[in-house]
Amino acid sequence: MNHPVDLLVDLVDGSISSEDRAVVDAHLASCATCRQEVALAIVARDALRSLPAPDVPSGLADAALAEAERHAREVAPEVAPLRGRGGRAEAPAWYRWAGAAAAAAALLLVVVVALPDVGDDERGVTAESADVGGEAAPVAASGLEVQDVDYDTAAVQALALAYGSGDGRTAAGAEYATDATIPAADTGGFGEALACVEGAIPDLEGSQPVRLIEARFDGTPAYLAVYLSGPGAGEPADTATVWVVARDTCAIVSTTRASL
Amino acid sequence: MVSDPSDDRELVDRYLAGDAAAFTTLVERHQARVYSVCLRVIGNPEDAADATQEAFISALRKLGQFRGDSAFSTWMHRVAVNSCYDLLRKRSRQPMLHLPTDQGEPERELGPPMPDHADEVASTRDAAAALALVPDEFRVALVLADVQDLPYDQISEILDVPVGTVKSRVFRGRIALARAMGIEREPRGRSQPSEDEA
Repeated sequence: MNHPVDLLVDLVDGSISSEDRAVVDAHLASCATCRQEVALAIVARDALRSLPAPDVPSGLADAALAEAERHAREVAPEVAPLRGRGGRAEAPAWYRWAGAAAAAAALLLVVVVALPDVGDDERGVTAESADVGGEAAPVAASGLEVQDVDYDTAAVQALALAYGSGDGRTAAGAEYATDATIPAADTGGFGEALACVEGAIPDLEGSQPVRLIEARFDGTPAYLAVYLSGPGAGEPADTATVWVVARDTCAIVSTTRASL
Repeated sequence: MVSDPSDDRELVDRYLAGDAAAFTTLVERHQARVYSVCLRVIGNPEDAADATQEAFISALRKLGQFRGDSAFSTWMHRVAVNSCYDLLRKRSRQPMLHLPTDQGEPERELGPPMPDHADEVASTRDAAAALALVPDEFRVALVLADVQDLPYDQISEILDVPVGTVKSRVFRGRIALARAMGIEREPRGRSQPSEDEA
């Protein structure tokens, strides 16, 4: 027997025409299975339609919104930074990040002064073992590298210097990079990390990190973002900068740079 | 909140021109529907939130391909369904073993299918949990039809299958859901008709 499923659906939905209703009634009169299934379908439909609407969690699209704002800055930098999520005007970017920039400059000075005395092997990764994990090509990072590694200031500097040297990788740190790095497909964590880093770093002007690492810095959970920059006007990048941003506060905790 | 399709199109254009707030408005308009689809298709709030996040990232990156041939809500539903399928494939449906019992209540382990009680009236809690036992394709069609209350021609666009196939999936899905809820035992001596019979 051929069962008129299409018409049975219309019957269950209450949208069947009188002409089709006669056809369906004739079929149901001789088909106990379809009678039973129509009864089941009505129960299921009513049960689904009485499900309560779920409460929508907050932050469902934070990663996408961060990416949207970055895109907007690239397309129309004079528009995007002045609009908040609720359409409310916000303070200009330079004002919001002025404090962070001053802190970063101060930290950079501290790093330069302290460099000869850093690099304690017992704290974690040292300058000798820091792994840069790839070529220093100016290609934006597409994934978050998660490392079970504790960087110190010297190790961060080594990360920058490795881009400066052009060889892109040191052998000493390769073991943790291969064992503890999550593939680039981890886009959810990437978006969150990028938003955190971009919120902390002043005057990015749309540039994107060539590498984004989730690790620790002096025992504190942190993101390490490597940026390449240059004079502009089509000239190649001439500086590698590593920003270290605390994961919990999204505040800059260290930065260092190296000439390419 | 019902969004105006023409407004959505305008918001897409504004975002592509560099207005990030336009995308924020699109998210605010559609996130409840997207999350609802993901929650009912995937079955638990945490994975549904992940799928929703991925759906909006995917939508953002494909906005330039949105031609406006269909309503933005149709297009966004398609992106959401694809995000659900991606997550289900990625996690091999393991999370489906942990199902929400109701909004705000703790999750419970899904045991074996409920015993048969022919006259039992299903509760809404049972329907939400039993959805996990409905085959993926039927479940997605069910959610779009009976949870999102979308017309069959729009579901046809979202799933890129004929309307007759949509109706067949919805009908078979409803029967599978009722049986997963323990409403009645599957009749003996008759195999399930295929979609082709629709």
